[in-house]
Amino acid sequence: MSEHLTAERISAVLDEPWSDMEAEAHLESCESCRGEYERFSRMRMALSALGELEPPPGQWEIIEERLNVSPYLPPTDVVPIGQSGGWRRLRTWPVQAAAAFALFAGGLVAGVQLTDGGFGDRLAGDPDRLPVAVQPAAFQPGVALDPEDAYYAALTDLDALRSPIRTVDLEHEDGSLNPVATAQALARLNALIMATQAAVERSPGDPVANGMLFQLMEERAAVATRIQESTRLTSVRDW
Amino acid sequence: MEEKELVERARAGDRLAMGSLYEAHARRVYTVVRRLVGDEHLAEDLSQEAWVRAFEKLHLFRGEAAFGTWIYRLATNVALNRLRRSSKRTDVEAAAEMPTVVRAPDDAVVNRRVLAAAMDRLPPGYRRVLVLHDLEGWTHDEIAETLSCSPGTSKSQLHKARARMRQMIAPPARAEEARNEL
Repeated sequence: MSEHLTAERISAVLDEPWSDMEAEAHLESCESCRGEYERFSRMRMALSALGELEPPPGQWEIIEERLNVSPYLPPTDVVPIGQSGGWRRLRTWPVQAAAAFALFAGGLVAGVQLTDGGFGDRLAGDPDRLPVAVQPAAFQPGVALDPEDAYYAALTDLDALRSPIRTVDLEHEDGSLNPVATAQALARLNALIMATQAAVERSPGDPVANGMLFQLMEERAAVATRIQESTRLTSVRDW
Repeated sequence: MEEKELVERARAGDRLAMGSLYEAHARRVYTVVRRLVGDEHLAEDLSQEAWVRAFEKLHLFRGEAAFGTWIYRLATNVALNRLRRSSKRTDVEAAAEMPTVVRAPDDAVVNRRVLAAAMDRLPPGYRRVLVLHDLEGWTHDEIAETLSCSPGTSKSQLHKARARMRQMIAPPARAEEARNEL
């Protein structure tokens, strides 16, 4: 072989020298290619030795801020107790929030039962099939329920109530809006918003309920925008 | 505190535990995302997104692997998905362009800054395989499975990526020769 090896071939020989004996033999006799092989080798070593990079300063604060408005995570104020060697959570929100979410959950039951029109046979009218946190027993007076458990259960089940809205296809196969599915989505969003507003009124400082309300209203606005766009394109009779 | 305990506390909403997990793995997460996407600002957004998603989905972490491995894979997927979505041009088109030479001042010393700059200029398809294989130590089988391609394609992309890197960091005379070879 008299021609020089291509760069790609040298790279391949670097990883699997046994796979190309002809190239190996060429490297033995060609100083130029051998030099290039060595440069490839140095480059590969330098790449594998590249160090880790520092994340941008203040990134954690931004992440924490984003988590504060997440409906999935309640805020916690955790303070260390150095002398005991442990940690104690000083939280006042769970009791208030659990009470708020009890009302919230009650609102959801009513809202879902009143407005459910097709997504949620599993949710409407059958208390045994309702999510735990929205079953009446979960917030009946006298029923002992850990406030934190109630809070988490309500959050988890709220997601179950929202998921049909997220997953249902608002459009027909041809891309036009499905008026029935859209109306049902709006009805469900309205019920969820009313229930969340009740929770916020009961516990105005609860960032989770506020965040949830904000997100639901955004979702409703998005559906409304989609309807507006559609009505520009279709005749009134289609609706 | 054991990482397992930190994860449990984070799962319960403990912000200090979340902060500790972030501190422990932030560099690795940011590094892999930054190397993959080749852009500082995008890497900031995506690594942030990966962390938020990780804490929101922490209930899905079953502890079969270490938390570090889990968040690393999650961040890698976030970056790769973004690359997939944003690649409007094909790699062939991008590769056809002559890259800017980011020449090393001394051929014997491969400067880290030069290497990093050259990687950023690679077409995304080349860069992701180079980063996963040469920097992150993935095998071609692992890369192929993640990128839904064959191991042969992964190898081919890697060799093209290295050739392109050499082309960018070679001194002028050798770069000319390298261009002729491609």
